Amino acid sequence: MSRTIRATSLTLRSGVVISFSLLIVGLILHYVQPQPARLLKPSNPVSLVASALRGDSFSVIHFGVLLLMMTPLARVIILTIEFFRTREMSFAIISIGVLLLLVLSAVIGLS
Amino acid sequence: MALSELALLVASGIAAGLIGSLFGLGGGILMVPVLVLALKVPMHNAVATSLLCVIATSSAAAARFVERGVANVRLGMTLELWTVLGAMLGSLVAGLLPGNALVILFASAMTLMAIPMARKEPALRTLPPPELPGNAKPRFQKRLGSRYFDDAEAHEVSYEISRLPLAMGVSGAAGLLSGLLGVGGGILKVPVLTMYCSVPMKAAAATSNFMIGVTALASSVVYYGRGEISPLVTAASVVGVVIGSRAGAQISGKIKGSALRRAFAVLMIVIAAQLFWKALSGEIR
Repeated sequence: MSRTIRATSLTLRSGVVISFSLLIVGLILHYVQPQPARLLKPSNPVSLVASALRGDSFSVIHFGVLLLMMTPLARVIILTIEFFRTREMSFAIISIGVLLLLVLSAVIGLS
Repeated sequence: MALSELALLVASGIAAGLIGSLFGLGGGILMVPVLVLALKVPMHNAVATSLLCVIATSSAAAARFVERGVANVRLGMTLELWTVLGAMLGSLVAGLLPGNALVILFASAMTLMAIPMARKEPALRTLPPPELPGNAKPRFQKRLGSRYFDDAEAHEVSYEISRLPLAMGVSGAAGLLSGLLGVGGGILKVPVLTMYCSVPMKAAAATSNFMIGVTALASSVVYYGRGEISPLVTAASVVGVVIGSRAGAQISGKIKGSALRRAFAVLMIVIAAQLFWKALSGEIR
């Protein structure tokens, strides 16, 4: 389990560091090229990445927010795989349950 | 948004993260009123921002707790089923409520959190586990026990879990609170895990922290889908809260004093009163 613990910890840390950096870059870009305020709405990930790479401040922030939201999800996925690998089936099933609930909330939220 | 407003947001985030980390409250309980009262951010947007701050601070802290083995991963995953379910329901209910009703709920929760803080010593006594013959103890519950090395006490602490159904029920309620109000929910889980479920205080706090990122994700995705995340407010708040909570974690061992704790409790009650007033007088909708 120690390798998984390291992987979990690394995932959580890097998720926060990368999204934190993207949010700062987005804020700086916004002050270089101000845009009228708007709210984040679900959009096509490919076009989001493309406009973030073009330097659109809101897209960079949007990408940072999505990455931040993905961080705990990645942690659940890593632990689910580990529980299956170590044949701790009760915990593997529980982890699948958590993942399904997260998918359900995403479906409810995004529909 | 003007640069001065951005600076105010980052500074508020730093203060919320610092104070939240010093008193073990998480940033949300302070970030929401700052956004609503000082920056006139609509309540639903403030809750969404707070949830993202919770994900950031929880993920950063959980990485440390998991490495040190203090967070009980198996117990955390088991209780997450219930916190996620509660959070999902909470965020859906929040979507049906007007902003001022949400503010009144938030102010009520804030007052209830401030009361135990205002008391002299928030010592938690652990109740003995219920008497059960060895073979009557649920097998699954036995596997949730864990052990960790306590650096401060310089010895290994091992424990078994008792009253698991109670922990599940309270986790569901904590998730509901999180989805509705944008707080972590540790204020409910940690005392119950410590007092009734035989989990040592440090393990309870670390496990709760481990869970709240996933709990906040379940509700933040619903707020995101409703288009209630303001990019600039969120970015500045998350940046501030992460900086503040890191600073708070560095100095939390060096600051002592129940007087400070009680002063902060009074401040929370004053903020809650202001929220009540503004919501009831129709200034916040």
